[in-house]
Amino acid sequence: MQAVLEIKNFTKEYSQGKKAVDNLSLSVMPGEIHGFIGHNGAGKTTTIRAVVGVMGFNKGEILIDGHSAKNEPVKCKLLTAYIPDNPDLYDYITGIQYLNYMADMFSVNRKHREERIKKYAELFGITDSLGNLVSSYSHGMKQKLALIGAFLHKPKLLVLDEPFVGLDPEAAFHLKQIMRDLCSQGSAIFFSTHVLDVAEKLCDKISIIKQGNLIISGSTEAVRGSGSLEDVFMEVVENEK
Amino acid sequence: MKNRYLLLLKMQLYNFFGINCILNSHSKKEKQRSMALGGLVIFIIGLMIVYSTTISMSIASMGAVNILPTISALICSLITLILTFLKSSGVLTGLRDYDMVMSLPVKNSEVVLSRLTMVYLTNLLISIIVVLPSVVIFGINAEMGISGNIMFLLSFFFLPVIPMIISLGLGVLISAISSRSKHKNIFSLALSTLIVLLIVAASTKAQSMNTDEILNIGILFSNITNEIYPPAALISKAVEQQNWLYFLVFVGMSILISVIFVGTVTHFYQKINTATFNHSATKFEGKILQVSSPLKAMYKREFERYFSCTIYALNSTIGMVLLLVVTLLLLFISPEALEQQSNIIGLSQMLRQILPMVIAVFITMTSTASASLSLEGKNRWIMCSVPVRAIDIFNSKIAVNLTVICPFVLISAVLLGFKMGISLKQAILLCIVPTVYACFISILGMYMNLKFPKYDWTSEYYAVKGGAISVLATMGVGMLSSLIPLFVCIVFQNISTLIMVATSILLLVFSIILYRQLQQYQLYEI
Repeated sequence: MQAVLEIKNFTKEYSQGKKAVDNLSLSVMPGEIHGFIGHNGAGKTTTIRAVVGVMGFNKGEILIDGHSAKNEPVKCKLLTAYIPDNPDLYDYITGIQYLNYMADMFSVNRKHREERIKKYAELFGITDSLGNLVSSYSHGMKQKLALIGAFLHKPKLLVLDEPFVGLDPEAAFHLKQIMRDLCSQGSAIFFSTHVLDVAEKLCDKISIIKQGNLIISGSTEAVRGSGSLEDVFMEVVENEK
Repeated sequence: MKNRYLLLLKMQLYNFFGINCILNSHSKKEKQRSMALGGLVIFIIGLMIVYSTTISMSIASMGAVNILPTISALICSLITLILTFLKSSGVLTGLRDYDMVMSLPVKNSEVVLSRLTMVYLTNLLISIIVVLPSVVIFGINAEMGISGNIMFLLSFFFLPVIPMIISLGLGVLISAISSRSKHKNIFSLALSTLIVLLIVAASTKAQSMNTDEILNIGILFSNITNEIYPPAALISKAVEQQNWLYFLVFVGMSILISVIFVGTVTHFYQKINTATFNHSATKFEGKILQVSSPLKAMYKREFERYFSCTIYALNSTIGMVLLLVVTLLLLFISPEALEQQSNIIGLSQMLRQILPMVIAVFITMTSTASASLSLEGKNRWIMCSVPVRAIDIFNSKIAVNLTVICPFVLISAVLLGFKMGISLKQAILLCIVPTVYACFISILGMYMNLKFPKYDWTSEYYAVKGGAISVLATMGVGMLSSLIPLFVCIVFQNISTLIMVATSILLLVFSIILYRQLQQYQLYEI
């Protein structure tokens, strides 16, 4: 089976030779929820930004459903949806205008966009606010709007950077549900988080990164062993000090 | 504890012309960019000083050195008035860091004062450029006592104050009025355009008054000054009569007006900003969604952006508004009457010939594209992650620029063409030259913004003005590309057609080269 996301020897080096990520390789299979864990500054966001084509990289290869992120960026982006850790949205348009814009960009037909906007907006409880300017939204509402925008084209790969920060418990519950639904339909999810409990319960696979190097990667059970994910994470961090 | 006002000011200065990035960046690319920026700023300042010195020397050689204080006061005040007004909406209201600043243990007055000081320092630079050469020329040529020279020298610290307060006051007033409206940005834009037109009309009126009284230029200018701007007259009288009382009245007036303004704005600061950030919540009722192609969707969003930011729309459309004003003026004054009034023989024929280049000058003042990337700011992750080619994004931004330019140019070209009774050859040139210039300035603006983006702004003002190198560079290169051929056309009228055709071909080739460069860019490089 072909991986939805395959990262091969990915290296990101900054101008003074400092490596943000060094020779990282991992793959995410269809139907898989893959958690990406690490300290602040470990290289999680750098990897994610390279995967979604927002940032270039020096060495290695990133393939999305078999397409090269370097050589076929538009094709890869069509298959991907990305939510950054702090989604700044266009303040000067309304929520519905933002969603319609994203649907246009991903060429979602009218029937599907209307169905999906209705479904997800109701689920996240922001239907009534869709006609208001984004600038009037709270941080959580903006995050919900960004999530809905990401779900509109049923992405093959959903990439999320700290998706649970700022969400209320109900929205977090629905997000987890949607993530599972998407995976049951053959999509894959690659997300970073600091919330180890959530990662432990939600993820099929876990990768831990430290100072730009992949320390451990495997199924959640294998990584966790007999302890908790928190124990493993602390152990890895302590051993590497 | 350090003075909090100074700390607030320091933070703003860090952002000014990207000074902090220049000082602290380790990136070679960033350093090169900063050097280019510094070089351009020094070049522009140098050019303005040379221009100002030349004017002062010409006036002195005409034997009218005594009117230098009045003229420099008038010019400095007018420039301050227009420039400050254009940026007034982003100075005191609608700032992105408003919440952060207001949560700090600072008084409203300290916030207001720090913002005003920043504007004052920018205006002071203009004042120095305009007034300092005059002071030197005046000191050398005028037979004036030491106190007259000292007063003139000291005046440039105070000259920008009153016009700055007037402009900022109008800006705050517009924010306060338009904040009640649902379409506040369009309302604000309309009001702002109206005020700019009034300022331009007033200065045009002042300039047109000198035609009959060219020999009596001293009296004429003092009349105009008294009529339009009494504070400048005070400076003139103070220097001329070496009267410290007039000077002190002028200084006192400037300080008093500032204190009243700071007090008033401080009192209403939170109220005005709350109103600016407030939004009326309406319940969304489902409607049929319009489906568009990605390019059309981006184009529509670019337009939303254009109308959402008053300073952006006003700054990038002012050239077209001025073109419309000039067109309307020329409609009511026949070229022959203009020729008679100005005593320039052959002016009407010359105007017919150089009309395409005159329109081109206004076109080169208009570039929405030069700030369009910078304005993406923190939203640029969306632009980078959507499945479109980088060139499609640039095309949508270029298309908006062309959409802004085209209607104005079309109206002006048709009206002026008919009014002046141009020939077929002139009509063809009137189609070709502005079209080429419109394409050129749009592509150039896009290219410059790619080379010199400014994403880390706290107010849209810094992306559009306030040291936005891409905007300055586009305007500078654009204006040179139109003013030089215009000048050459005036000097060599016999071959003006050839000059215009050659310039158009050259700019077209240059535009194609720049567009090819745009096609090479990858999205993550932005």
